[in-house]
Amino acid sequence: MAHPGRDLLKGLILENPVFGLVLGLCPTLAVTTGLSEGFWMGVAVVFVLTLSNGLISALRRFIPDHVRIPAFIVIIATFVTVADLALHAVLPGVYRVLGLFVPLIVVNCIILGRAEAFASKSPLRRSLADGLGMGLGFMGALIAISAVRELLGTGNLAVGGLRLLGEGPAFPPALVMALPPGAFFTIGALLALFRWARGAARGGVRRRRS
Amino acid sequence: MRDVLRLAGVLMLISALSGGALFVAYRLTSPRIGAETEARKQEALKQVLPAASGFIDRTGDARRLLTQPEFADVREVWEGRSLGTRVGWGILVAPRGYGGPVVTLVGVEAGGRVAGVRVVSASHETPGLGTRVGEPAFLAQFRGLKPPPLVVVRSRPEQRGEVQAVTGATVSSRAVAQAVLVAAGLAERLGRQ
Repeated sequence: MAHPGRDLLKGLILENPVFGLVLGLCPTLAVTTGLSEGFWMGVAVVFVLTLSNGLISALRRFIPDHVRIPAFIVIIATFVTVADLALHAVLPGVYRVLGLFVPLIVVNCIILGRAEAFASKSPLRRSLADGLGMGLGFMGALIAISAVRELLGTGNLAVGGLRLLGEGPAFPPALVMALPPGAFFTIGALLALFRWARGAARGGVRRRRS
Repeated sequence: MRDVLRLAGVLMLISALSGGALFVAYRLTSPRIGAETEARKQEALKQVLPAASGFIDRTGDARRLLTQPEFADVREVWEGRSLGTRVGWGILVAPRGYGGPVVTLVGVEAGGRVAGVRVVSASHETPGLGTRVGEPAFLAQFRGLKPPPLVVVRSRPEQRGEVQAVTGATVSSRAVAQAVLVAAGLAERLGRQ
């Protein structure tokens, strides 16, 4: 596992932050009511996670062990604030939708989790790859969850303003899917599906080997 | 002792660098954020009162009226002008919704008719339900009304002055209607002055 490519790929599937590690569920529950919210939240997390992992890895010999957590938090909070300001200036429409959840990336456990578990003891290139992979894995999970919730909760799915199933709901929408319980239902179902698929894939490999 | 100084020093250095980076980021983005906020305000006002070509802030002038309890939720008062005459009002009202204030901008023509309604912020409402009071299909119902009366109903409106609530968000819908009612009342009082 000393290869940056492997570090990148593991975050996407095997150690996917949401479905594999089950970390950082707060935004996963809160901002997955619609596809575009999920997508842009994912973009912000990829930005913060990659850069904070990189900087923490670069400074890992300089930061004393005793104060590493406050140091990590300061670094993460700085990138989050930059992302927040940049989003407000460049994409005000998206900024309005995400609102409070961009500043809340600071307390997302996946970010501090990767800093502590990986970046603080790994070389720069591997840490960047790990951050990018974990970020993209997180983003993929947000997109999957929000697509399911938007489809079932509103009866339609909009990609970039284009409604895929024609005007209006294509079937009577289940409002509960747009509400907080819908987030738990969706995450539970997708988590079960993910684990089952992963188990089946592993079982398949084992059988082929024997 | 030396160790303590080193710990504090490193943390201080990182915080100072972070402060510097944030200063730069803020300086780079604040003109655009400021201009965007201002432009959005004028644009939002124009959307609720298309007859006006420009708006003047009259919140200060209306201060005495705004101290009355019925106008307690009013935040801003803008006078819409076109060709040197007053054509109506853009009034920002924030009545309580389901979880917090529903900030609503209401355009009222000089004759007292509602020209347009826009929900500026409904961030405390239930996501996916209450937040849908910002959708055009709901807000279009207010256009052309001359409240009072103004009543929120759950089924299809049958009488003049009735609007249909967003499904599952009656409380949030009522907050918007309340904003329109307050704005219409205030515009009427302002017009008399």
